[in-house]
Amino acid sequence: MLEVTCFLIDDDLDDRESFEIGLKKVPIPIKYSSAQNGLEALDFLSSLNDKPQFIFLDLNMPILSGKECLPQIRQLAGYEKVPVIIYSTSSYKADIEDCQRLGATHFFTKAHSIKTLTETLTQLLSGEKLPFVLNSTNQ
Amino acid sequence: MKDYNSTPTYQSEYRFQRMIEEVQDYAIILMDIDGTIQNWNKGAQKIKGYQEQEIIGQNFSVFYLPEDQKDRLPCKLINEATLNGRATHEGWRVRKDGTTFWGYIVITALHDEQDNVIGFTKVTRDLTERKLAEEQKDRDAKSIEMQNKRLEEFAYVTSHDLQEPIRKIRAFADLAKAEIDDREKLEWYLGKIDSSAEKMVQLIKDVLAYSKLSHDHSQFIPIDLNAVVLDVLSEFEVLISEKQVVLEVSNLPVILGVRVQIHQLLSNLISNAIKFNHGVPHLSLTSISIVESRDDSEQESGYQITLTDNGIGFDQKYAERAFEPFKRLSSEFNGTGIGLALCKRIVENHKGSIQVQSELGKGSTFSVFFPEIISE
Repeated sequence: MLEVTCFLIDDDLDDRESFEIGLKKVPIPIKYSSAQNGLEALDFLSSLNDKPQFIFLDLNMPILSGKECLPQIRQLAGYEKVPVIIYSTSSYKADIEDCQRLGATHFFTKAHSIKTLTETLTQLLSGEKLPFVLNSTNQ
Repeated sequence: MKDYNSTPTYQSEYRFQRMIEEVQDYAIILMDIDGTIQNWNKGAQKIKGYQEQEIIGQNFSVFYLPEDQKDRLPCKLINEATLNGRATHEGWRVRKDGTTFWGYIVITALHDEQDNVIGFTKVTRDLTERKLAEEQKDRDAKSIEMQNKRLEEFAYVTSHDLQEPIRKIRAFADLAKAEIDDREKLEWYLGKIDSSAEKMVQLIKDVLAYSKLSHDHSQFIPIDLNAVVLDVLSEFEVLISEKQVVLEVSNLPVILGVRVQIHQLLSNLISNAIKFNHGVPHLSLTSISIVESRDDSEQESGYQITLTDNGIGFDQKYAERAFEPFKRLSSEFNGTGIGLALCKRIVENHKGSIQVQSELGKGSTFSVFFPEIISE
């Protein structure tokens, strides 16, 4: 089975760690990498030959916020269609609408249960058709 | 010969003159072509405070503020009335006792049969109450706007920042449950839970401090900034000796302000300057008297307090963002992102301004301007 490549952009160390824990439990082979901020992510993404198949993007980050980063990812050559999943603490309606307008593929509100995280990631990475807002009812 | 005083023409003219004299709600005056006052009515006396015998023969420019006189506003209005037949204006005018009222005036040119201007009538209404009501309405609208903005900020905070530590606590509790027998992992998760809770406490404190800031100017008292700085330094004694901070403080002024707010301001700025530094922090706190140009082109004198550090700094293009709530410029150091937003709000409460010049890796300079006189 081919590896699914995932890329997370999040400034919060705890969140990067728990994302990785949840991701490791997904029963699919996965290649995972991450960046600590938007600028680092843009540099990294534009230098890659093999583009990640899924990009997870936090909103509340210093220097370059998720909302500022998202359109810039979309402008990189070859990233027009790559699924970008907003991965944020927010379940704020205005944030959800903003991100949809800016070209996000899904809005995934960070879960407090690793099990939920793993389940949603499994559905997502195995290509199931899902609504724009993921996991919004857990808050 | 018939007595002229009993002719219908005289009777009519007499009644007309009495009518003008008796009107109380409008100042109606007659002026010659230079603006010299020729007659006076009850309304003029009521609105402007002069008796007839005091004012007749004077120029109408005495009703104008010194700055309007300097701008030759009375002369401009006369010229406009000469040219266009009439001139209107609204503005503050001066009564005999030096108090001011908001006057709405109409100056109308009077012409002879050859169409030469022979004088002017000037009608003035006192619209002070309406003007004050309008100003109050503007203030109310601004205050509602400000409160709405704060509510929005609050909604933002509760949906982002306050949820984050709670979510982490639940996530790590969840992980801890799953690995309850692995002592080492369990301790690590418990540590994470503890630090998230601590962050939550700090956030709530900061949010409360931010939202509780008072605009009540009755609390404004003279504050010696030197004393405040000493207080702040004793608060950070441990940190200062740990990091071997070098601090130069020049003689600081006494300003008008709310003591707790000024303390918070200096405490935030100084602790940032110490915290955001990898090496030995060098801080310099100075003050100068300056005259600042305001947006409305008025000039304002006051003090500029400047704090320069040799810390990590940041790219100048993020300078504006540094003062927005919950916008941290670095994830490398702990912070709730409220400190500088709080500083900005405090300075605005004191009718001042705050700016920052910074360079990544070189350090930052924060400049705070306090006006000498605080007006509403």
